[in-house]
Amino acid sequence: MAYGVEHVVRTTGARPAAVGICHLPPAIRHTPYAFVAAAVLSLLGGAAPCEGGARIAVLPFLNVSGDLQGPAFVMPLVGPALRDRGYEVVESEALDGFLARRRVRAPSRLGPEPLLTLGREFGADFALLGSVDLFADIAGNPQVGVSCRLLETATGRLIWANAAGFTGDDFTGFMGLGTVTAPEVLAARTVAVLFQAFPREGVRPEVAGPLPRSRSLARRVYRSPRLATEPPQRLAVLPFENGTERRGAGLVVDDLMLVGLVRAGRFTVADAGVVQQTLLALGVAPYGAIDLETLRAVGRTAGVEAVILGRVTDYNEGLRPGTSSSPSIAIEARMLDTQTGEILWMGAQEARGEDSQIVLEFGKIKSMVPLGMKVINELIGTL
Amino acid sequence: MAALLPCRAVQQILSGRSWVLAALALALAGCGGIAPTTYVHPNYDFSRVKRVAVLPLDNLSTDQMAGEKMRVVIMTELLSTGIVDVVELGQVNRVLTQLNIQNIRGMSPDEFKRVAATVAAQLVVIGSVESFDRVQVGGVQAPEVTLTLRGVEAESGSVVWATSVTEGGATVSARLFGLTGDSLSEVARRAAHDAVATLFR
Repeated sequence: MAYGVEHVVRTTGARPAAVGICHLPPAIRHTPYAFVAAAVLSLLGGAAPCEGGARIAVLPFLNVSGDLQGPAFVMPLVGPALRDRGYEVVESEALDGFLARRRVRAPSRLGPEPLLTLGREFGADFALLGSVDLFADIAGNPQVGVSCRLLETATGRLIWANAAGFTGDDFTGFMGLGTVTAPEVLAARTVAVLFQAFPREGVRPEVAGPLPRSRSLARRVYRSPRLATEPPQRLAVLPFENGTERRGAGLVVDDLMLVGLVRAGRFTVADAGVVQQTLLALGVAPYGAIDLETLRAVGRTAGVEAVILGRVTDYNEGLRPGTSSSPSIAIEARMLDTQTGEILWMGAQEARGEDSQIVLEFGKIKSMVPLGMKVINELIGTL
Repeated sequence: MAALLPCRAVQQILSGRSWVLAALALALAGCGGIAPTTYVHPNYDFSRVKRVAVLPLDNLSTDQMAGEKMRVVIMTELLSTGIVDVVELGQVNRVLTQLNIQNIRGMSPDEFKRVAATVAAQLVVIGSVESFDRVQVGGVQAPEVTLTLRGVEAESGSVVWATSVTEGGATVSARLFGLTGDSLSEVARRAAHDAVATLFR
């Protein structure tokens, strides 16, 4: 079956058998005959209003921002953003009972089996998992950063992923006007940008264009010739070691790396839930490094040919008093073959917000999430 | 003044009109750091080295993570030569734990042999990071990295290669013009590159 939201087959009988364009088989749903077919079926089976598109269950986002308020600002905005794009939404509150019953402590790392059950129980074709990576209600200059990904509940396949982040200053225009000072407004703008590229119901998600290239990075990267001749088809991101003082920096980079790989579209990527389930099943906790025996076991259990792991050596959101107000990040990463343990790719990249500054404040990246995505995309670009 | 200079070519340059270029060349020559001090065992056949294990480095700098940062940079530089394969650091750490080796500095030749045999490496690299910091040069801060590496041969457990490199720091360009050049990580990469290059020369 081809890759795309429009090809999902509904397996649940939980919803009413109303007939509309959205209920037609995907093959004809977007053809000129769709309206005629829908009209005929409506006459035969009794007219019923189209109840919406595919159904998405929105799981509670993991809060790694360090601020307890973060999800309260972000989560209420997710459902409406999805409904605007033609989907039915199962809100995160409705899933509380399911998550409690199944003792799910990390809803942003849901394994394939609970995902399948979730899909059946709530008639959800997809599940939206994510995390609030950054939330800081700083007077006059709030910061918000969110990443999320869409999984097909029936197969556990990663369909779409994105990340977005802003500071209030990002909207400052001429004469200092336009700065967003209210966190709720900034959260709304961040979520709007996050779902800007979210495929409308029935539309195939797009793979990102060519990734940015960094000249200086080429010197800091090793790339095995095997990547060109026999590249791994399916890979997983193992937990990054956090070598910084910021709690959760490794988790944020795990998520952003996943987003970057999905958007690059070159590899099939196992979701973080598959990785978590694998590590739990094996009773291992690799952290920035892995031995050959564990690597092989991870490869076998998760069904991946390679893993990416590494360390976050710098993660400064520019929020700590006494440090630069501009964000900075440094990441080391490598890809290992799960059979041989061979290092297939290895690189390190760092960036500061002002690196891309052109003049005055133009070009400066003020928020950690876009800066992290830039660094990760540059690294992935060398793959 | 020109008569005191040993090099005839330099005398000719200074006696001509291009003395400005010569001064600039001298100033820029100070940007690259100090040439590595290297020992290479005269009778060891380095073409036998196909796989290298890099052990955790001693960190003598003020940056707590410098040892591990440099270890990864050295691994990348070794792989980038395209000549040797490098053992994944998680595998090396595991073997060190299995063999109950806690003090790398105090490893015996026998322990080196066992580590090398377990990870199937012909050379084990150990060493230390002496400096990994920004040093104050006049009014500016210049990144400086000093790195010492030793290669221990798997069969005998003896040192067959050693090198010490300093990159960045108080260069001529930093002292004269306040130009501190590259970032700390770029200076670290250059130091690792220069050190690793002496293994294959």
